[in-house]
Amino acid sequence: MSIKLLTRAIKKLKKKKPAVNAENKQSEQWVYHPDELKKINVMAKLENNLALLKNILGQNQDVIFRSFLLGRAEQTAAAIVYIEGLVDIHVLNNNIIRPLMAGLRQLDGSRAGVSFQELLTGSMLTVSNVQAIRVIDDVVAGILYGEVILFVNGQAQAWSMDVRKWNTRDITEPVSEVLLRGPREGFTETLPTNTTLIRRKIKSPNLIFEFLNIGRVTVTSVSIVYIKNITAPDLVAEVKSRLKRIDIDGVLESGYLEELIEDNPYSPFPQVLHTERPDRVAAALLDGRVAILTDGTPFALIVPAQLTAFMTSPDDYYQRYFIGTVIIWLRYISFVMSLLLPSLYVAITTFHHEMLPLRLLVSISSYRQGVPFSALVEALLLEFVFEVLREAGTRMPRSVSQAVTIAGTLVIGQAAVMASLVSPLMVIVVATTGLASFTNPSYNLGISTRLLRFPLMLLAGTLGLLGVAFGILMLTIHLAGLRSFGLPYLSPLAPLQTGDLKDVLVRVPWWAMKTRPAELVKRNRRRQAGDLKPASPGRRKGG
Amino acid sequence: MARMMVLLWLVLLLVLTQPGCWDRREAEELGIVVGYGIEPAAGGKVRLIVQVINAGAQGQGQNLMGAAGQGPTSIKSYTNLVSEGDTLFEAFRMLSTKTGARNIHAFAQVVIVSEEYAREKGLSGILDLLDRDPVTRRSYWLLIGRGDLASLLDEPGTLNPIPSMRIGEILKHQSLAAVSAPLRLGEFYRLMESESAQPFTAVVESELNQAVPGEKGHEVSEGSIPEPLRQIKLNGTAVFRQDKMVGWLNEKESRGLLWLRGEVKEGFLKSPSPGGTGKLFTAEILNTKTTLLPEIKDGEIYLTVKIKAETYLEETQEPVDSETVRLLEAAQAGTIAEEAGAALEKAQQEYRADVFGFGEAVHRKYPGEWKEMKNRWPELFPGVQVSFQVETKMRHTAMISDPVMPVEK
Repeated sequence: MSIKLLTRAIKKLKKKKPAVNAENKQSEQWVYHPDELKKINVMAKLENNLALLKNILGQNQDVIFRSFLLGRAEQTAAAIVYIEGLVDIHVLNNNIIRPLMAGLRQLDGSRAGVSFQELLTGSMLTVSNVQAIRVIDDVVAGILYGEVILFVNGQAQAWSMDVRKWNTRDITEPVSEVLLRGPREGFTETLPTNTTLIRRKIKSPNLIFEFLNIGRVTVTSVSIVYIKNITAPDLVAEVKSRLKRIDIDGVLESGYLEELIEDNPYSPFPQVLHTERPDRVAAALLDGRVAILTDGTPFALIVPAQLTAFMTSPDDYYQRYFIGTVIIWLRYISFVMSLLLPSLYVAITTFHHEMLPLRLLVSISSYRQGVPFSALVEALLLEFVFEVLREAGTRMPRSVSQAVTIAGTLVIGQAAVMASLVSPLMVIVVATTGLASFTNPSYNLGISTRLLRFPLMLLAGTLGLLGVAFGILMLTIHLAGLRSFGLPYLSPLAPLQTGDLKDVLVRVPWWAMKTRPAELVKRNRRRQAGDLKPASPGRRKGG
Repeated sequence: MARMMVLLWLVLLLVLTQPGCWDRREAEELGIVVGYGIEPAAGGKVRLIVQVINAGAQGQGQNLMGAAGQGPTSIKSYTNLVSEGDTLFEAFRMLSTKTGARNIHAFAQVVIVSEEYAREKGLSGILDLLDRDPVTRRSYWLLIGRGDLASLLDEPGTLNPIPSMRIGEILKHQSLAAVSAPLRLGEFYRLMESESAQPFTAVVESELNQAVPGEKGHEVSEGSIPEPLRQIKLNGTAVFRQDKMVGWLNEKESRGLLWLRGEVKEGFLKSPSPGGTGKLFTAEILNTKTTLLPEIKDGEIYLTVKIKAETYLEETQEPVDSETVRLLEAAQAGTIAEEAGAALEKAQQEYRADVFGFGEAVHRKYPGEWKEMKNRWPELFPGVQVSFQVETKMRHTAMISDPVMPVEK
């Protein structure tokens, strides 16, 4: 079958030779189909190879076919094929074309005992990565990947040379995860850069990068990263099997993968952590987690991720542990506030006035005089406007977002109160809730609290605290059943792993951070040598 | 799973829509009750005065504690609603013919019953409702009001314009003087329903305000609020037999009541200086302990009251040294015994009401004998022979030792 296809293609090409008119060109093109191309080998005749490639890729103007003659007598025809802009043109000129055309008189293939293959790779092509390939599909994939392919007439193989180079974004400070203390570098859109960033942090031979391509059309490189002697092998196997299952036309961002590999696709809670920070990935790897890097996005995925992992920031581990602990708790409180504050306010002020101090109740009552809406409607209204403001502020260019902020502050903060549309206390509640939600270091967890706020407010406005309790109960049941790559979402709190609370209830000092999380790592659990607690010289144990 | 989710949402929808929101009250619709006044009305009815915070007035540049921008023309920060009924609950419910607000009772501070009502009708007719109804609380202060309650509950004040709340604040700090003995409703019920004790509570009244400028030509400066003509004051203690008020203890006797009940926590102690000069010294009370030791001998009931008090010197006009401190202590002990004796005299002999809890002390020590005594206790109580053993300690003389006095030249 493949021969048939091949001859058909060549025939078509020959008929139209030399000038192919534009109208027919469209219909003549071979539709790239990897399954068919896998069955075709590189042919000995250069002409045939080029004809086939032109048929597959020729319509793309950025694919360059460069033919030349090799050897002293210039009797061997050869050609290189590459895509303009994906290769380093200097390396191509100096290290591939120059030695082939000018420097090599031996290429007659007459030297005794040296095969053409050895001659070529052994003494001519002065590039580091040269591979002989035989299947046309590999040729096409290599060209699209940015490799330079060399065909030589009379050789039933081609050579691919990795001289990829294109313009990339510099390594900059990650915008979405700002730290006060910690490395200022973030991932970029280029996978090799990202792997380098991790490799530079963990110089262990056990740090493994496994690559696979996902996406039928985009053929996106994805790398699974783990540390061989720390990470549980079944976790790695699970990650691999979930990734391999994916058969999709394109992967443009790691978010595609996230949704395709998470445990519960209906949960409002994120089950995969994403980060722009190599140091965060390195820390996760040392914990025994697996990272997934995707080409084309600076966001790496980390699995498994439980609820508390979303509430920590690398900062917590770089600052002294006192402040680390305090800030963790600040975040927990803020998390609860961002979820519950408006609903508690609505419930208490409409159902449970007895719970308020008298002066506060009088104050609320007096500020609500003249407000036309019930507390529930008021809360929903303001929360909605706040979300609108937030969204507007995020999507607008910085110069415009300032105008949005001003409009928001004036309209919501002042005018709405003065017009008695909302009470100032509700503004305080909504603003505080908004602020509290900003303390969350994980944007995706923040989104889930933003969404869940609204049903909780409805429950509060209809059933009071009973409704809020009901909502919390439902959430707790859901969270207790949720898993991320098999890891219970509420661990180490439920099921309780007392040893792992050192990252959750407090951030213990580094000298007490003796083991890796027990839920994740079964072997090689010790992080550090015996007693690292520092002391002044006179007080050190054992002198 | 999907079917479960759908079912769950349907159930949720039903739960949310079916019962409605019967209990929902927006904060601005509330009438926040801070105090009650109860007095007799014509035709054997009971008149109920309910003091409600006017939250709307609070918003207009004022707050609860007073008075930024408050002028005589501004809206009062409270409203007194009045209704009458044959029963107290009727009176409560008849309020709704006069106000649109939904009253909430959780924040009330005081229940003031007029002296007239307490003496003639007794409190049992009104206390049942206050205990039975789920919205009223046992933590309300029960007070006996002298005079017209409508005017007592409308005495203007500048620091805390709402009278009920002002009384609540006064009660919070009255122990600094410890010259009256207020009770919360719950404690009043306990004493009233006890076989071995009688209830009591503080009396509240209004008196002329001495701070009102008396001189002519002393004009109130423009824009400021004149001092109110009258002010609210706690004045001694009402004594009950069962639910009826039978008598009144003045400030000294009220202190005596507190000594005998062991409820003096702080306060001042004023005694004659030991030199016999007629001068006085005053001490601050640090802590006290009262022990009642009953004894039944030959059918007679004896009771020894042991009072221990620690004080420190606050004010004197005579030099103090380690010797005279002993004398001061003795003088103090005498004062305490005198105060306690005065209360005992009034309550035991005149009112024949065991407000001190002597019966409880006897019950505790002689549970067997008490069984036959408990029915006769009202007759037995006046015959109890009481003796005092008072011990005081003056711990220090505060910041200075010698009195501030002119040197004789």
